[in-house]
Amino acid sequence: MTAMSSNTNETSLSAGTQTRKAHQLLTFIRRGPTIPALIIITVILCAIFAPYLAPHDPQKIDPKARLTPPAWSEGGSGKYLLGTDSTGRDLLSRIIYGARVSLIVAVIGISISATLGTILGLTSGFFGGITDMFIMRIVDVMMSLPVLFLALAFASVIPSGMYIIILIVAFFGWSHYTRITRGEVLSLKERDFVALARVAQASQKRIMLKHILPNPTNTLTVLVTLDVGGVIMFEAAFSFIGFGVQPPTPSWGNILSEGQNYLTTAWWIATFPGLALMAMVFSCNFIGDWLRDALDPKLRQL
Amino acid sequence: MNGRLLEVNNLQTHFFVRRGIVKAVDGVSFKIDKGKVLGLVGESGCGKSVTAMSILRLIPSPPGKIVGGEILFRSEDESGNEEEIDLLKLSLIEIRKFRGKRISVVLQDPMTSLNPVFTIGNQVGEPFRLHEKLSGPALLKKIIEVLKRVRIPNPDVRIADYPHQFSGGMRQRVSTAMGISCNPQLLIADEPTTALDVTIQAQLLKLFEQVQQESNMAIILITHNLGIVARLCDRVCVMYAGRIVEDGSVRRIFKEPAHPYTRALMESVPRLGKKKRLFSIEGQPPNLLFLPTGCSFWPRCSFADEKCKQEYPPITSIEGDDYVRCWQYSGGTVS
Repeated sequence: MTAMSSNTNETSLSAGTQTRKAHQLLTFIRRGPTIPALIIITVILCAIFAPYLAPHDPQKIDPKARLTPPAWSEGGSGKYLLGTDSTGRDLLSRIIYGARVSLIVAVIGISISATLGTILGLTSGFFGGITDMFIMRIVDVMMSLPVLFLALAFASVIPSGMYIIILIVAFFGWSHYTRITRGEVLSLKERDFVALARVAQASQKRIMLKHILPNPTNTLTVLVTLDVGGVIMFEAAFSFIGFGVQPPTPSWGNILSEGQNYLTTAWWIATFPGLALMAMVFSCNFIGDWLRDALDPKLRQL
Repeated sequence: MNGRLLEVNNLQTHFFVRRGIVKAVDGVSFKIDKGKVLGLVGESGCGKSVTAMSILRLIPSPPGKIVGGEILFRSEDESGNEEEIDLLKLSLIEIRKFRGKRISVVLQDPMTSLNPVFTIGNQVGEPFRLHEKLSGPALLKKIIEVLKRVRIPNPDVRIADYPHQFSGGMRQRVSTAMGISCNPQLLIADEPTTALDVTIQAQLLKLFEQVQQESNMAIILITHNLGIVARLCDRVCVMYAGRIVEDGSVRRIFKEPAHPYTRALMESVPRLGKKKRLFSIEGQPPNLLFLPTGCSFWPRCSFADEKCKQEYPPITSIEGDDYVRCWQYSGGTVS
């Protein structure tokens, strides 16, 4: 549909409408949550440019500087801004590198699960009947599975690593996209505009993809942003209990995990990755909330 | 000289549900001439919309199925020769060429007939895009043109607006624009004014009149508002429980309604200045799953006798093309 709308827009809009559009876009951005957006952008930049941003090699051990506190507290050193861990590795560098794992898992895992889930939901809702029953029963099964437990079972069979988390996220994550898309499609396909599209000679495929699918996209976008937070948490939890990303590769989860042994003596090891995690999840939820309003054409005009 | 455009013969559309067969349309026949307006009136659930959707072949299947009859549509092919086509015999691919282009539709509720996530320009353009394969400035010109035809002010600006930025009446105009976009020969208007308030109804009716005169299209107007029928239609078919009980010219039906049901309907219209209690038809429309034997109207008819309870009355011509299905007029057993 983007091709369609840009097509009409470019050719159609008189100068006045164009300024109005630009104005709308500006208000739209201005109303966005600035701080969460900045946090997310920072994290993304950290993940991409980790080698340039990190002050030290995240895996380089400095035995003399073990458990150095953050620079501003007593005994801290300017060399290690957020302090070091039990083997003297720079915490800041590890957190910066850890963002990579979190983002890669979230982006790839969710892309797969959301795409798969949406396609299945659309098919299920649109065609109904046996197709619908079949897909929805699979969804029921998927939703009744204890995710963490099965994930552990998976991880104990297949050698652990980042890709296993992606696989688990993709495998267990699609079902709620299917349910939500199906629900919306069920109500949408009965609306008159679908009948009118049929009258306008639109094919089944065109009705599905161009008339129906754009309607649930704002719900799905919100779901994706909320999922990003959830998946990052899942990765952290999974790495925390020792599966998933293996040390010495840093991930927010396994830094936390290492830090828990030193909670009383070296609070900073667990605190900073925890804060990073919290800020990221919080920002994702905020952006999701904003997107929901922003993507709804009914609220866009104001 | 206007000729025949559409002839529906003995159309039967049934819905096969778990509890039985709902004969929503059971042997409906009517004709419509080019450039004329036919009213289809009747209570809710009497099969008006199903008849319309059958002509468009938009009956949801399952559970619905057109089990019998023919719908003859006469139109000109590319070379200008008249040809008569039975729409029911066309494949679903072939019917697409007719839908939207030669037969089009305006639906009742402008809230659901427009897609909330697209600009109206985009939606009104869809028939042009698909039927006439237009794009770019040519498409745009057509869209603005058709929006002008339905009297939407500033169409070049409004084209970029979303449906929620329009009022109900304006939305129905947009809907109408989509219906008339490809200059159909037949427009089916399924209760186009029911969801609107009276002043907007009046505006929209005027619009229908103007559009109809401008392009000389035939309209099948489905409504339960007899005032609209009187204003717009040339002929009226009164439907009851899936059948047409009376078919006649508007003038005759309003002056001397023949069928007891039509008479009762006319009595039920409130009139200004009359200080009488408003007449209402006793009882309820029958359950289409369990139709009474004989004439389906007899349980509510004050003239019913034994014969009415046993056999459905045949078609009896009364005046010109007009006909009625009532024992009062055939056999004359009822006084």
